[in-house]
Amino acid sequence: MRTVAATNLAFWMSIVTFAGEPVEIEIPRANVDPTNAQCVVHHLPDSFLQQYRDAGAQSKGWRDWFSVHVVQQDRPVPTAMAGEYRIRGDSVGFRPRFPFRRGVGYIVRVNLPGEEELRSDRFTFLRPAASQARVEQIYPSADVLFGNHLRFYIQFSRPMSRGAVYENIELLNEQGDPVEAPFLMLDEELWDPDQKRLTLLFDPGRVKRELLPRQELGPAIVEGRTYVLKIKDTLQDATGRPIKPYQKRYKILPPDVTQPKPKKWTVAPPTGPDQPLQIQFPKSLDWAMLHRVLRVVDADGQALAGSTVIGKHEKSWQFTPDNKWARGKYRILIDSHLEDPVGNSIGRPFEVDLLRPVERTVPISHVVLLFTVR
Amino acid sequence: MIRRVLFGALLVLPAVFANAADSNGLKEGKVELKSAGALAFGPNGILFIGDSTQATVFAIDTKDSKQTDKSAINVKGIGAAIAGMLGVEESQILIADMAINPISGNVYLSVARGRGPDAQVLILRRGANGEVEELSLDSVACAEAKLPNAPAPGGTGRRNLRSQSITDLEFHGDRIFIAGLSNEEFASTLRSIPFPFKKVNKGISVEIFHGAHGRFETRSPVRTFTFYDIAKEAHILAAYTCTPLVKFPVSSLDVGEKVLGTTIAELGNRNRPLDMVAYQQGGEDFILLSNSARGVMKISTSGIDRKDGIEEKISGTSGQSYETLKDLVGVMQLDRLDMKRAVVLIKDDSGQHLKTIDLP
Repeated sequence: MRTVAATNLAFWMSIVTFAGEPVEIEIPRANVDPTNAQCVVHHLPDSFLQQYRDAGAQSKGWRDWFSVHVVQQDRPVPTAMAGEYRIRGDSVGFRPRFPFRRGVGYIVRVNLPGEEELRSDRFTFLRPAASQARVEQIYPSADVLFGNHLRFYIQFSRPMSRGAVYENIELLNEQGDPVEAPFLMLDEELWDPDQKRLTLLFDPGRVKRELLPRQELGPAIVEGRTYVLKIKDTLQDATGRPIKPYQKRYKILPPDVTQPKPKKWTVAPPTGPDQPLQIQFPKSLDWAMLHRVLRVVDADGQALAGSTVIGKHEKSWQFTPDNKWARGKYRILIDSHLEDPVGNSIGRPFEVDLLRPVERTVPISHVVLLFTVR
Repeated sequence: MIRRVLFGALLVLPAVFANAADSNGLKEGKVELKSAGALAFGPNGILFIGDSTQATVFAIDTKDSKQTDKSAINVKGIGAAIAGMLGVEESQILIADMAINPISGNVYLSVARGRGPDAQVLILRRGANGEVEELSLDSVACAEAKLPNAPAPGGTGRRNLRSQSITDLEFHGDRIFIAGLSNEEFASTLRSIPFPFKKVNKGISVEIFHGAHGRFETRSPVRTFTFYDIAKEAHILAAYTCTPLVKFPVSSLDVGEKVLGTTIAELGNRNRPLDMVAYQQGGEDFILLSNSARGVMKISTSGIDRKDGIEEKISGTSGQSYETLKDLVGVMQLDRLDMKRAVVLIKDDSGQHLKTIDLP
């Protein structure tokens, strides 16, 4: 009773003869989960297997007669896949070091000693059907940008592939031509851990005054003009499928060199025990940071758990605690790193001219706003 | 079945005995990488690996500490060979960094198999036998230093999607230096961690420096950096993504303070610096810098000790003189093999290749 036969995941493909016995190559089925899949050669004579039994796990001769290769452009790649060979009875199984990947073509090659002809068989694991990945939202969500804009967040509906972002995202001018080198290209690509959110930065050299790229190429975006941020369909999701193309149009405002000032925010305390706390900002703030840098703390200094909603154009924030509000005084702790989409933070502006006094720097870590639930 | 159980029990014992820290503070354990990142060698064959997803620098003992004559390394189609070995098409392989063990001359690569969030990450070594092999991290003498990441607000249960990308690592003296930036607030940092890693107040002791260069303070990320002695004083030479080359003395790095660097060269736009090494040729010192769009530059160190940096408006390039090496095209990775040679990873139409070059 062979284990492999008992798995019921396999079927017999080619039959070769070796020392008078029929030798079979077993390849995995196309529709199974590739995680634990393996390739097996059955009915090998004991005299042939003995040399491998003697050499134990250290034996390196397996690939001379039994190897698995990726097929690319209809040809086997010369380097064989790394993996583990195991003898079970009169069979030898090959399990790759990393699981077979869906959609990739593979070939098993068996070339037994004394046989001139190379036996081979091909297999592929099917990719399950999935909806096409698309851009869910781009932040800033408004249709205007400041002339010194720094950062976009692009939220995708599915995990994406990394490594080809900058060739698949363009900024088009009013003539429909791509702006030259607008973005900061980082080999690491700034993805969140799920690879569903990309941070795209304008090249700070094109934003900051007196840096070389801006002097030579000028600013990437010019006040009064309109640009289109375009995500091409050649960008791939994590499984290698093209995405649904997307574009968003922005009109450019004058540069914004003011820092966010919490004192100018409008705080509306909750109107009932299960109503949200609401804060309005005079200007848009950084969408991602708004998710984590505001905290509501009760009179005992305990941070409240709850859910937040970021409002239209990132100009408002509301918080509903998991437990109902109790009467009393509360504080809103605002991390002074909180930035606007231009990179000005509460603590400091984006660009500091060291020869001129700074508008304001806040050396402290938090700014506090107070409110009372009555 | 019984035999297998006994065998497993026997295997555990040496691991238990070996679980004391060695003189470098390394303990036997398993390293699970989540992202392929920067590599740097420290003393005695210790390899530092930057993992951006986990915001962690791992130190592992490669046990590759035998001095060799460092034979030239030339592998045509190493990208295809790695992809074949790992069972995927070449487009699904990302080589994130390359480092050469200064003792053995073996090449180490950090590689991602796949491009999605579920990519497998591994360290490959191209050894003297010419074969590319995987460095097993299942049981290895190792230590880790977690970089402080902005914490999720306490008690609110919200997920922290901020990540700390590590753009470069270099070992100098008794510290590992780490350049990085966050995907959210725009702040680039240069940190150093004393090695062996020491725990202070339950966390790792990390020093953070904020760079500034020229008249305008910038939070641009340091793309690549190296150490170089100027007037017998150790300096960091840092190349920023907006391409200025900046120097600052290592001794000027005071925790939490802003470091005012001196811009010593502007190397041109539409370009990002990739790797940098310092070397000597004919009694003179040079810096070799590879770039994404401006080829490999051999930069003179003549006059590098000047006090005043570039602060005037300039056009084109200025500062340290350099020549672009015309026959070195498509260099993605660069590291020094010995005093006279370097190894490069080159990408061209036919794929990726390792090549040994004489330092120019």
